[in-house]
Formats: sequence, structure tokens, C-alpha cells
Amino acid sequence: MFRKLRFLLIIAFLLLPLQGCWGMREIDEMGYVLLMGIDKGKENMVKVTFQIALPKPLGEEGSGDEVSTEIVEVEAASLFGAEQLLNTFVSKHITLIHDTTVVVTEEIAREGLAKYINPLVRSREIRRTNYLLVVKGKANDFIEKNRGLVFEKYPSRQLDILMASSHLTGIMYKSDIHMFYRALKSPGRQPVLAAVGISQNVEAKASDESKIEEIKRENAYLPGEIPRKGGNKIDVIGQAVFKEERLVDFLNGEETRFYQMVTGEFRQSIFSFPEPGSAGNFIIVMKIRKACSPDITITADERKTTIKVKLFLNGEIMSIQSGKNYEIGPLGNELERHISGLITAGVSQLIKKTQKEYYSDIFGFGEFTRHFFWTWEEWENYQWLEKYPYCAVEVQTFFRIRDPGMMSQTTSSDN
Amino acid sequence: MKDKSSFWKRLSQVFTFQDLKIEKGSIYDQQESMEEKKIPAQMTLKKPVRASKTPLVLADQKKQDSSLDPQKLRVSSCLEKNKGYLQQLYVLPKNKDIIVREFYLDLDPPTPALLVFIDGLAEKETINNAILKPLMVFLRGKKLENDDLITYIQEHLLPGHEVEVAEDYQTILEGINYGDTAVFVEGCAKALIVETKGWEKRAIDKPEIEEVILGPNEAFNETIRSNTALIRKNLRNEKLITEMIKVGARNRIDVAVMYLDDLTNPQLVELVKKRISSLNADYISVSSVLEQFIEDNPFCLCPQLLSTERPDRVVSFLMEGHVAVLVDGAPLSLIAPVTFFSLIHSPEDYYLRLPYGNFIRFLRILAILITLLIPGIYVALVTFHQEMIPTELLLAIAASRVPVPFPTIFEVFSMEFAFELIREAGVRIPGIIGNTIGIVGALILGQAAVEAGIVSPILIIVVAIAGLASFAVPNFSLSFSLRQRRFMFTILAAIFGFFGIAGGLFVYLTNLVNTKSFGVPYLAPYSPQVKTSPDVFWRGPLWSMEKRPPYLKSQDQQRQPNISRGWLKKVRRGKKDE
Repeated sequence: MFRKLRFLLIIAFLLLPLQGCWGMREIDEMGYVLLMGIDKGKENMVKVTFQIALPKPLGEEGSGDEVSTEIVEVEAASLFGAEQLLNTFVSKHITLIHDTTVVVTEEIAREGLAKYINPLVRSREIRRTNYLLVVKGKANDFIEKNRGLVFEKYPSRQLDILMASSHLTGIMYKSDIHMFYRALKSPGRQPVLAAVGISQNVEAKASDESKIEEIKRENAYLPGEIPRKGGNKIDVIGQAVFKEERLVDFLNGEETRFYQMVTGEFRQSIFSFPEPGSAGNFIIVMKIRKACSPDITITADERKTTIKVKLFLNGEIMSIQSGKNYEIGPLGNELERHISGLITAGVSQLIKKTQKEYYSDIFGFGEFTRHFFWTWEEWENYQWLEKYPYCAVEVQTFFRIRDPGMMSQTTSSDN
Repeated sequence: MKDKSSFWKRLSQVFTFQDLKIEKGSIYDQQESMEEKKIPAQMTLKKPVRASKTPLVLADQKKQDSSLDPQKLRVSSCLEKNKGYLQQLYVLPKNKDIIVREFYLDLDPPTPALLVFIDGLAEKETINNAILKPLMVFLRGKKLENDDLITYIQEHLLPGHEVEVAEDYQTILEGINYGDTAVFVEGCAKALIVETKGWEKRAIDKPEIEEVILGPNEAFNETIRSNTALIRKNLRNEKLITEMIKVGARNRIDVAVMYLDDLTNPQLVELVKKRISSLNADYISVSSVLEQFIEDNPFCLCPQLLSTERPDRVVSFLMEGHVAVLVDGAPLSLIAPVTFFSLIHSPEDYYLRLPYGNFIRFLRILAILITLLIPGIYVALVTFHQEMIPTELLLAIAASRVPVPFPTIFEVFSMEFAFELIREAGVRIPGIIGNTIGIVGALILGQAAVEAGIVSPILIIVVAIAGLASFAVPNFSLSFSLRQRRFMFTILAAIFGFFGIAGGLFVYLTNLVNTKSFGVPYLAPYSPQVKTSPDVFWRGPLWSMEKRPPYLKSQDQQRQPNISRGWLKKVRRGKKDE
């Protein structure tokens, strides 16, 4: 009996490899796409730009400027059609399993991203953790300009680190396919994506604004417009605001920072403020950290819906140009009030902008109305997104200076 | 069946003719031809004994030999007869190791006597001073009755510490074969067996398989008495029992079963003794052979007895309520029963302080997983689940694989095989040229294979780590089992990827759960779950191990009281211990 059973089991086991369901593929036979760009095609629906890795052994000495990726553009009706066409002239089995980023051109984003998101979400090979970026300009331009990778061999790692530094600066944003998809489906929020651009090497031009405005505009750049020279040819700054699936506008770095403060994604950022009463001659540089997550409450009655946003922030003094003693005493409190006022103004302005210009609740305030309803249908029927532009908004900022840095007191000799 | 027997018949005939280079006219010629006529089919494949020049004393030796059964044969009162028996039993004078010394007891009248011992096994000094001298010199012409003679000699004359009186040849032969000296006296139907064991033996040495850094470093040697003594030296308790069982039909080997009488579960002792004494094998050479005869499941993937060469380890097991089995001639002791977890422990774990001990345990568990799974995981990752590898590493692996013309699985297998080859060769190679193995191995594995583009460098790291990890497994037998299983997991991974590894682990675990070692579930105390002292994966402080392993069902479950550090009672908060 047992012998028979054992025999049968062995036979069954031996039959398993014969079923022909071989998923095995050798690592060196594959072509790994690291970056994909989606543009509008001329001949067909889309033009897809693939950046394929050319495997290079680790630690091998060679000239640093050796090309380690290959960029290929294919026009096709669909993303996967393009992938298939790619196989016809690349002697590797193309796979998207190591794709880290999908870059979509502004043009397509304005038209509507939903139909492009669908295959990305459905595909087994593309992870939902892929970064989804909207490029101000052409996607293939972006990929090609990004070739001179200064610090990294492969763009996947480069973008990984760039995206991770959004926590350090706050003026850039980290967005992936899943976030976009979730926001697209939610009745309580509208999607945002990270914005990137091709650097135009803008010359710094003399502005006719007041000094205070200049200081405030320190980070208010759209991708591609940062006045700079040298370095990589791409800019990662700001956000792309969507209404439903359509791109409405780009937010600059400054606004991105305020956006992240409201959503709680903000970790830290360096702010430059005009010193109170100095007419913009002196600035105070402050590293501001999130103290704890923002407190958002929504109160609704028949007449009015109010959104209350409380921000809790801590500051670390990095520089005080005037030499005034802001660390302690009434001066410190004054500075705190001054800065909270500036932040409150900035955040309120941004929220107002999304209400009146974009009609788009990118902050996800709608999610906080969810607890008013018993069922999903009720919540959907509430039609928050249509109500959002007419809500009253109250922003409060609780700001404390916690850390004067390595100096406990500013002395006049520091001038 | 018919075919089979005829085959063996033919084979035996062939060998009989080829193997025995018979000189015409010699005694062998006659004997063999005689036998051949009678029972050619039952001829065994005996190698010819070196021809003796001495003519045969007893012409009809062959016939008588078969009739002599030492179990039934009793000592005769006639010395000549006894001498004849001995000559037949030991095939004298062909057998040159056996010394038969004839002498006279200095009685009135002088009585002939003889003593028998094996040259080399018995200590000659003792025989000269403690047997021959008193018997030949100190009797001084006494008059004694024959019946009292043996008793008198035993009680008054032989200063040896262990003198037995025996009447049957079975006992006498066993004694002589193990280095004792037998004394026969004319007119007495009894013989004396005097303990004169004294052969050349290896001194107690350092352990070679299980070395520790902090702790005793003596190991067993090949003499069972030294080994039992080593255990006794470390376990000073009068309830430590050493039972001797003789095993083997033709070569009777002493097997010692040691346990603590008032601690070990008597049923367990019975079980071990029953298994050993029931053996009906021709010859049990060493403990590893005995292990294969008495283990529960010969097809299990893991060893079910633990063999150790360290007396201190045996003692710690005995104190837990295990049974130790020692085989004469083997420098190892077997411990029964064992669980999987005791195989992954090392005495060093306890000799080191708690954090260090736990650290090496963690390292070891990791090593077990690595040696078992790493090549499989590598194959699965590289051929199925490339999305799991970090992109840079993936591209590096891909780049290193570009010049390799073989599929990954072939690459892994050839490398694993080369490694096993080096390992096996390293064991078998004579020590003097042992160094070459390292050079050849390093060159083949590390350098040439990569440069020739046969394997990729990353694979060498994988194989080397797997090999290295297998050396960190403290039990040789377990390490062997893991090495072997590694190949299975590699094949499974090559066919099914991670799914195969998961399936393989499932089967592996099922097998382990299903195994018992002397009635104790192999994965106890985890499966079945029982409460036990903190010493399974992690070890707690030594004073917290208050209970003995419950699955042993020993007579005394409590190992130490709840507060074993007596000095703690005196300490009060805020006051110093004085």
C-alpha cells in the first residue's frame, strides 16, 4: 500500500517538470528597462522611450563616462505594443520588472492620464511603486538629457535617491503609480504627481519685485526654470496638479512645500524669511521640521462647510543676519509669530488657489469627511469634490523655535 | 531465487579457484579439495592463510573444530585435555599471538599448570610478577587438596585485583581475547581468569571534531574503559550506571550503556538496552555503525543519535536524563535520544557568557539556513525572480554572466560539485601533501574558472558562503545532511523557483516532525509544544534552566530550585552583599 503510494508520489513529482510551464529565464538574456517615457506619437498613439540597462560588472575599472544605458524610442498604439516592437531589434528579452520610473509628458497628462494608468496598474511586470512623474516638456527629451548621469551609473538609482531627498527639501515631491491610482479612484481627493523638467539654464534676471518678495520666492520655481549652471540637465521640483485625470497646472517648489505640510508628508525644509521690520535687508534662515502630523477637522452644517487645518512645526535657527537675539525672550516670540504668519499665509493662499483656480482637492480633505457616512455610496453621493471649492478654510500654525543650532546666543560680533 | 543461488555458486567457485593459490601436496590442497567435493556451494570466500611451516598437530582438526562449542564446553580436570581444547579453539600452534605457558605449581607433589594469554593484549609485567612468581615460588611445597586448590590460589596467592573463577570456555575465551590471562591447574575443573589487560593505546588527546575555546579539551580514545572513566571522572555520582552488553556474533565487542539510575527514565534505558542486545550482526565495529543499527528511521534526513567525542558533553546529556552508549574501539559516544535542537547546540554555547553564547547560536542558525538554502535561493532569484534583486546587483550579476556559456543551474552544480570534491579530497589526502589541496582548490575555484569564463564570480561567493556555513554546523552528521539537502533545494529551485524551495521546506519539515528518536519527537519541544527551560533556539541564563527537558520524562524533573543562586537571598535593596 505504502510502497504503491510512494511510487505514485514519485511519479507525480517527476511529472511536474514535464508540464511545460517553464518560467525560467536566464538573467543575462533579459533586457531590463529602467526608465520609460510616454509621449504623444506622430504616426501612432504613443511614442514610448525606453532606457535599457547595459549590464556592467561591479567594481570593474574603466572610464567613468562609459555609457551604461541604451535609449530607444518606439511608436505604437500601446505601451506593450511598443515593448513588443522593441524586442524586434534588441537582442534581449525586454522586461519591465526592473523599471523604476514612468515619465509622462505634459501633453498627455493634460489630455487625461487614466487610459495610460490602466495598463500600468494592470501589468504584472510594472510595480505600482514605480515613480510616476510628469515632465514639463517632452518625456524623451527628459530621458535623453538625463544621460550624463553625474553620480550614478543607472537612472533607476539616481531617481531613487532624488525622490528620497524630497524628505530633505520638501520642495520636490515623491509620487508613484499607486498613489495616483488611489487618488484617482477616491471620491475624497484628487491626484498630484511629482513634476520634473528639462533645465533651460535660465539666466538669473533682475527682478523688479521688492526684496521681501524676492526672498519669499526663493524656492518658487517650476521645473526647468531654476537659475543655475552646470550639473545634470534635469530639474526635479514642484508638483503637477490634476483634476480628475487631467493635468491642470504645475505647483512650484514653494507651494509643494506648503502642500506637503498640509498632507503631513513634510519632514523638513530650509526656509528663508525676511527679518521682521528689516524691509528685506536681513534674512533669517530656519530649518523647519514637522513637530507632529497636522490636525485637520472638517465641520459641516447646512450652510457652510469649514476646513480647519492646524500645523505643528518646529524650527532650528540656521542663520540670523542682523545679529539680533532671537533665541530667547520676547524677540523669539515675535519671530515665531512672524514666521507662523508667513506660513499660514502661504498655506492659505495655496488652498485658496486649489479651490478657486483648480477646483481640485489635491490635499485629500475629502478623506476627513468619510467618517460622516455609514456606507461608501453615501460618501460618494455626498460629492465632496464639487463642494470643495466653496468650503471655508481656516489655517493655524503652531510654530516653536526649538533649537538655536550650535550657538545659544547671537552676539553682535557675528555681523 | 534459483538463478540467484546458482549465480553465487558459480561466483564462489570461480573465486575459490582463483584466490587460493594451492601448492600441490600441501595440507591446503587436501583440505580444500576435500571440502569442494562435499559442499562446494557453501564455500565462503576465505583468503588463504599464510602457509605455516609447522606441520599440523592434529590431523583431524577440521572435524573436531566444528564439534567444539565454547558455550557448551566446560573446563576439564585433566590439564592435558584443557590444553588440547585450547589448541583446537585457538588453532594452535598456527596462531602465533597466543602464548601458552606451562609450569609447575610448587606443591607437594609439584602440580602441572598452564596459563594462556594473548601477546600484546596482556601486560607481561603483571603476568610475571603477579601470577607466575607467586604460583611458582610462594607455594613452597604445600600440600593441598585439588578441590581447594583453585580457591586457595585465588584467595591467597594471586595479588591481582580482579581474579575470577570460570568453568565454561565461553567466559575464559572472552577473557583471554580481551587481554586477561587464564590459569589452568591439573586436577581442577575450573580456571582462573586474571585481569592483565594492558595493550598499547592512544593517550587521551584533544578533541578534533568538537573543539571549544573555553572549556575542557579532552576527548575519548579508542579504549572503552578510558572512556567510561573519563565520564565518571566528570560525573561523580554513585548512581551512574555502566552496563556492558556484548554485541556481535563473531567479533564480540563491548558496548557500554551509561545512565543515571535515579534520574533517567527506566523505560528509555530498557529501550536502548533492548535495541542493542537484540542485534544479531556479525560485527559492530564502531559507534557510527551501531548508530545505524539502532536508529529509529534509517531514511530520515537527519541523524537521530548524537555522537560526541567530548566527555563533558556526555555528562551534560546524562545529567539531563539521556542515555550514553559507548562502543569499544570508537572514540565517540552516542547520545540517545536527541532532538534537532540539541544537534545545533555546542558546548561552547554554555561555556560562553549568555550574550556571547546566544550570538554564536544565532550565527549557527543562520549558517544552517545559509548552507541549506543559499544556492537554491540564488538559482531561484537569478532564473525566476529577478525582480527581487536590487537593480545594480542584478545588472552586475547579468554582466558577470555574459561570458558564461552555460545555464545558471549547470554553473551552480559544477561549482558545488567542485567544492564537494575538494572537501572530500581534503579528508582523504595524506597529511603531508594536504596543502596542495588548498592551492589547487583556490586556483580552480577562485581564479581560473572565472578567468576562463566558466563560472561567474558572484556564484563563487555564493558557493563559498554555503560551504563556509556548512563548517559552522557543530554536528558533523547534521552538516553532512544539510550539504546533501542543499543539492535537492537547488534542483527544486531550478525547476520551480521559490515555490520549489517552499515545497521542499514543507517536505523537509514534515519529515522532521514525523521522526522520532527513541520515542522522543524530533522537533520537541516545538512540535509537540511543551514547556521547557529556555534552551532551545536561544539559551537563557544558566540559573533559569530549572527543569529538565520534559520530553525525556526523567524521574526528577527539577534540575535546580527556582532560586539557584543562594547568595541572592541575602541581598536586600540598598545593602551590599557581605
